[in-house]
Amino acid sequence: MKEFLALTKKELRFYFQSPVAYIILAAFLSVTGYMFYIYTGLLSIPGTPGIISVMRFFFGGTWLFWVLLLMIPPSVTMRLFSEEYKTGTIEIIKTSPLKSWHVILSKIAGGYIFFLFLWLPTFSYVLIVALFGKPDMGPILCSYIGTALAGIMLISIGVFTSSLSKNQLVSYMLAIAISFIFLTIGVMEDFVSDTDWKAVISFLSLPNNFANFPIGIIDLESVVYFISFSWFFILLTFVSYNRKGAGE
Amino acid sequence: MLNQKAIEVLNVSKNFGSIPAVKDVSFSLDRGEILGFLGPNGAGKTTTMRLLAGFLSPDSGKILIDGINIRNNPVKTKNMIGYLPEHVPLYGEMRVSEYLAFRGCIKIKSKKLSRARISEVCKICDIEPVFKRLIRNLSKGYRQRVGLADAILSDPPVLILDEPTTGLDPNQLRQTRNLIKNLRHRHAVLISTHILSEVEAICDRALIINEGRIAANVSLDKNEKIFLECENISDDTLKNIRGISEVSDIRRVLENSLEIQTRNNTDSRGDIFEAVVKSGAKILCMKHTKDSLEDLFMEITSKQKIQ
Repeated sequence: MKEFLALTKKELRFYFQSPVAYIILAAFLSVTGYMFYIYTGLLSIPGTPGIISVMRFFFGGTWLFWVLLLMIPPSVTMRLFSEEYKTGTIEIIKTSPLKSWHVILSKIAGGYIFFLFLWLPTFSYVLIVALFGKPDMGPILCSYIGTALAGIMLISIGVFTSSLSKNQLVSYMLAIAISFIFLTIGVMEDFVSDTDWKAVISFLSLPNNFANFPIGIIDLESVVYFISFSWFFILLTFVSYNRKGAGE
Repeated sequence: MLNQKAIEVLNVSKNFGSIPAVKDVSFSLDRGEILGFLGPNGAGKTTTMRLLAGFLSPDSGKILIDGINIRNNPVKTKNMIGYLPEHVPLYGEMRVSEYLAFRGCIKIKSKKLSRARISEVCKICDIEPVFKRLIRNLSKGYRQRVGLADAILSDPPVLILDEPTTGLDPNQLRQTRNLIKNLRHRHAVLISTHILSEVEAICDRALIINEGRIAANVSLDKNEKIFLECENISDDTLKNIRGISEVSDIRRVLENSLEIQTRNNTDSRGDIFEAVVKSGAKILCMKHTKDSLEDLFMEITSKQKIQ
């Protein structure tokens, strides 16, 4: 456990010491700030349900949210393994008295904590909404829980692709490609007629599994979806990390 | 039970794709021994060391550290090894102090002991002046010594040092060599280098590896020999020299020159002088010599190339 904490601390240190992390943070805040700005702008259009709907728009209300989930997690995770392979420091890690799970879960934890950290400033949007109206806090809280669950799955995908290549750009693009499938597969539902296939596609779709959180429902099925896909990609990372000749 | 053999390598082979890097290598290293690993570039030195350190796994064969198979208990065996990789990969964004604290956290159980060891290895490796500096700003020599400090941090019984002296200036070179020599009391040390004089200076034994195979296992005799050149060497001359109690062996090198081995490095030149003169021969030259590892190295590595 001590080893796991030391490794996680090391990952977090790199996030807060490297300029890349601040660029990610700046990009994230610009996009979410812009989203918040246009959603509050919508309020001036007659017939909108009022200020309580702003956070509802914010979480999955438009495609902007999905772009954020597509782009941000891979940029957080791409360096985790790739950098170690490129600079050769993986040799220090692999020859240390560590178990594979120490290394892999510390990467997941480091990336995930930074991902959650990115969302902290968005509480200020909730605060602004609460100042001008009486939003229902339940759905907002559920939205954050849903985002955190989707986050762990997308971070796991990113850590897995990072363990495949010493090139950060390759890791980034692979993570985008895999995440893109989960985020957009729902579109396919319209193109198949078979109900079984429709069910499979609906099950695989990340937005479908997220849909209930912003209306205040924590669906056990969706929780299982996010956790099991996270484990699936963590297991793939195990295989990739321990594969013969990794880092050669 | 204390195992005498710190490292035992049994018929280990490793291929990269279809290219064999290490072919059927076997050797062992005792406690308190310094073994030099010699070979031309690309001979398989680094691959062998990576296999020992657990970074690569062998395709066939067994590696035992203190009698424990690496494959069966990787964490335990890695705990017994201090490893300095070839190009000393380090986290450039960390300060030396942060890096060693991080490594201590991984390798040493108690925090207090870790702190004590960090200040100790900083003294030993002379990195105190750069303790608070960022690693990416360090010179090659300091990076090398930070790597060495990390390798000996947990005081492991086995040290595997891949070219520990590259990039050091002559002063640091001498310090590092002395450091490694002093390590022999508590550790079994395997070092690779292509500086032959270094092996002669600090190692007890040298393995010469060429094209993935062990070409020679040389015990580095510290016994000096006496080279003697005389006119008119007769049987009497040889008999008289043999009569000296310290002389253990005589070898005729050329028609008029002899190589004399003495016991325990005693300087018997005075006795030899008298013995030769008594036999009526004339001494032209007498001096101490050493077997040159360089000659052996050249002989092995160039011979195999021709084949």
